[in-house]
Amino acid sequence: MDAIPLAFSWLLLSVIIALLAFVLYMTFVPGLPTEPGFTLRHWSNVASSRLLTSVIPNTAIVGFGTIFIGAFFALPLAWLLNRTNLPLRTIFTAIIGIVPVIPGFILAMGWIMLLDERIGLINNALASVLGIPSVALSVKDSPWGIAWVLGLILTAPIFFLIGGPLCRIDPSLEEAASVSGMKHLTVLRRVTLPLVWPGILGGMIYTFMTAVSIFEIPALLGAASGKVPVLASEIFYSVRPGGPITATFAYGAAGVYGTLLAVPSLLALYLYLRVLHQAERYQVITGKGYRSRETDLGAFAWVGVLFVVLYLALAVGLPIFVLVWASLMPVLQMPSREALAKLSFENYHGLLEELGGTDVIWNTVLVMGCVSLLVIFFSFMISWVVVRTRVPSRKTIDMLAMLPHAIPSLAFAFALAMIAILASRWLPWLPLSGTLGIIMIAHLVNRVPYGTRVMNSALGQVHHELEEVAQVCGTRTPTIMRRVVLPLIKPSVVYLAVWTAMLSFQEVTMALFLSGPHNSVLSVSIWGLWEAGSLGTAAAGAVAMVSIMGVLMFAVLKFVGGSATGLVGRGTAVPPPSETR
Amino acid sequence: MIRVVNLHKDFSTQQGTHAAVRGVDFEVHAGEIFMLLGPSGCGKTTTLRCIAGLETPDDGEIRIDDQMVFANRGQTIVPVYKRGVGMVFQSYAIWPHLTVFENVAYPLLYGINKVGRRQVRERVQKALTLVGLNGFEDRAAPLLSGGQQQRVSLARALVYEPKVLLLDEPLSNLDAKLRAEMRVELRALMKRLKITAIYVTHDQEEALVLSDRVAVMYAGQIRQIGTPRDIYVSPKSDVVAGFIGMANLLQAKVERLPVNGEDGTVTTVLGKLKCKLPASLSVGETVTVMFRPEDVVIGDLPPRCGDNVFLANVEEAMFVGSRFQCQFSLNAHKIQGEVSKTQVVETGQPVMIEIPPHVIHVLL
Repeated sequence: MDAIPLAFSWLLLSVIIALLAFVLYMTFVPGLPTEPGFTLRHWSNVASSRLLTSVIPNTAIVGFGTIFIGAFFALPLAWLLNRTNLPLRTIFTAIIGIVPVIPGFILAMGWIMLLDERIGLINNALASVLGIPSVALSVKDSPWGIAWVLGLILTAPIFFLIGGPLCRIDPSLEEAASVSGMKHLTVLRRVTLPLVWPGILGGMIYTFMTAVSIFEIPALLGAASGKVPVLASEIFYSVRPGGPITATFAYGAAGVYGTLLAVPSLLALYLYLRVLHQAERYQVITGKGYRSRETDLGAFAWVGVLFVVLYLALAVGLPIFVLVWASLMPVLQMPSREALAKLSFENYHGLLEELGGTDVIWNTVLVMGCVSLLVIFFSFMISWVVVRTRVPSRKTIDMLAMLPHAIPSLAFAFALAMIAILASRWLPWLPLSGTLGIIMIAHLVNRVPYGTRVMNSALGQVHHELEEVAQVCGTRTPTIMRRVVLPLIKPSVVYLAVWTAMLSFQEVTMALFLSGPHNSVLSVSIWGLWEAGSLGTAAAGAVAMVSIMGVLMFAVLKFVGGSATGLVGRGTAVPPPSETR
Repeated sequence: MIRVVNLHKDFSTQQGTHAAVRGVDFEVHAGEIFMLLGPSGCGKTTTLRCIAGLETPDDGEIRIDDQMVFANRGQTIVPVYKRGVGMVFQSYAIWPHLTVFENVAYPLLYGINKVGRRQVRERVQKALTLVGLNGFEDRAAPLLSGGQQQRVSLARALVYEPKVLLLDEPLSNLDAKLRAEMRVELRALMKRLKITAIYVTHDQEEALVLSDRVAVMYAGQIRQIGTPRDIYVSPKSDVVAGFIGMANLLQAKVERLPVNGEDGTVTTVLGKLKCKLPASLSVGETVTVMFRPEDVVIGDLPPRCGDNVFLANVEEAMFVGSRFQCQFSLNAHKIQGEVSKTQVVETGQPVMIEIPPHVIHVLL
């Protein structure tokens, strides 16, 4: 009865394991995977001064700096929007829910146009106010700049990770503290904070894992020019030379970097799961229908509103504004009367051709559709085995399905690219190298951890007797899945489909890494325009992309019925591993 | 009709292996309502799920209607959907995304007992009539009351006319009054359909009212099988006696064996008790004697002289409507008894209690 879902689970999981094994294998091969030989050279090169003096410190600064910036915004935001009577709370929360939908590299482009010694609008404004030729402040070419932009982007996931537990604290715990004579701030510090501490810690660890494995933002902000190399960018440029430092292929080195990146991430994942496990001991934080206590901000409400508005301006408002502005300007310049005269839709004319024509649109739609179907199918099969059967290996399967979350997406893309090279040599009929298929596999592997989390909790909510009675009634597993279980978890399936499609739409790292002449998607095209220096057209493309996202978001809100913003926000974070029977 | 031989089932938990069912044997005859009764965790539900095929036993044989559905440690195994049994679950397991009609029609539409479209409507109607739910066809399942959901679940289990019906605590989620009504109705329905049923419950009253035969399970084993009256009147062990109804259990030492049709005598903490003793016992042997609270005779002071009469104090008198449930203390020992509601008893009041020899039952 369990054979079909089990077979599909192991099919995908063995692909994941094979890809990981391949990354390790590549570190011992002298050159291309097709060439024979064995070498330890790549590993001994790890001790190279460049790696130790710049790459690893930069990666660390990016990781911890992001945590710092993210926590700086997310902690007050979580408290203000969940536990106070701040005006406009629901609207603010909804907007923060939409932030993760905007592609990060587009926000990074916006920030370059805002804060750059040469072209930055803020720099120019400051310089003209102060009367100096230039202001030496830039998000580019500094790991702190990368951390700043990443921190702003990753604030939303931390916000939702902390917000959940913060809302669900049993108010009587805090009331008890108040009654026993504690002052308001003391309660916050002594009772509330310790209770949500696991949530905060989990959020920080998750932020670290995400920050160190993102490629596109460091690349835009200085890794591409070789000034701020981080591990993620090293992998990329080892295999896709074009960056200024690495002009040759270095597959082995890429494997080593991938491993170096995976090890701390795996450690972080382990810690994250431990923290979550610990959080379960605070069983007072349950999903019961508590109404948490709200702090009356009183006359200070405007300070809170100002803080939220400041964050939204920095994270979304300013970068998007500058992109819209840039897309309407022939050359980026300060807003002025003279500049307003030059406003035109010039950059939007022929945008479709610039982006690569209808092929690119079709590719993007195809990737979005297929990836969400694949993710749903495999997540459902894996979660079925994990939640619905007593197969002895189900715990292992659950752990393995989480694995891709800890491994940077770039490492999987790398392994897939290598396998594609092998395949083109030995199995020429297999359409891998440079096809949409390889991008889809990469996305599938990358999204399965989240997909299985959603499916695990959805299936866990379907009482096992609902399925058992269908068996007794004389129907077999495939019919039961189709007629009983899938209809019951339909909301989760729809949500997962839409969210996966949106993430596929904005994903650039893997699509770029695996791109060839015929499998370009929208995000890769915009990236290409930016790299080629056509800022105006790239900005126009970015604005178009954000608009499409906005329309999609709106459609989802209509479809799911309003409460989707919270879901979308949480979608960026990993929900806890579900309890297995 | 159903035959279970030497059934074994272990569950592995984080604490280690837990033997849920340890060598269960029984046979259910055609048309019989067979009850598996026991406290929670005694293995009764596991046994039922093994018969349905929802659990795979570790060892033993299960035969349904002369077909071997499990044997040889799973080398012979019939999957659930081919066993053709009907089952009613504790949670009713009504599919919330379907209407009443769709719920009941499901087995006929998609199961291995598929029938033609026209017949589906006819048979669903028939099943719904059977359980008294006419006119509810298009009602969404979540909008039904507990009792109605129970009926839908029964209709769905009966619609494909299974020979065997398995019921897993079907009435435990209903309120007390409805439960009492449903007991009678359920028994009448099953008898009318002449269906063979295995019924799992922890409610002894349900077992006594509903069943033809009862198997009392404890710690994964069947302790006694018999008619409800047999089990109540002559339980074979303290576990069975304690689970079915209330019981006073006393350790006793055989003092004198019965001679010439006279009663024998045993010594207990209460003192000497006259009672019927089986001839197989010998003097000095330790046995357990049992008598029911309702068989204890309560009288006023001064005490009448005679056998098995004691002076006791009322420790507790609980009014439960039809009678008082009392606890008496006698030589620092507690005895359960019952007093009719017309009699007035007060805490601390001294009374005379008599335990007639014929109500004392020796457990072997």
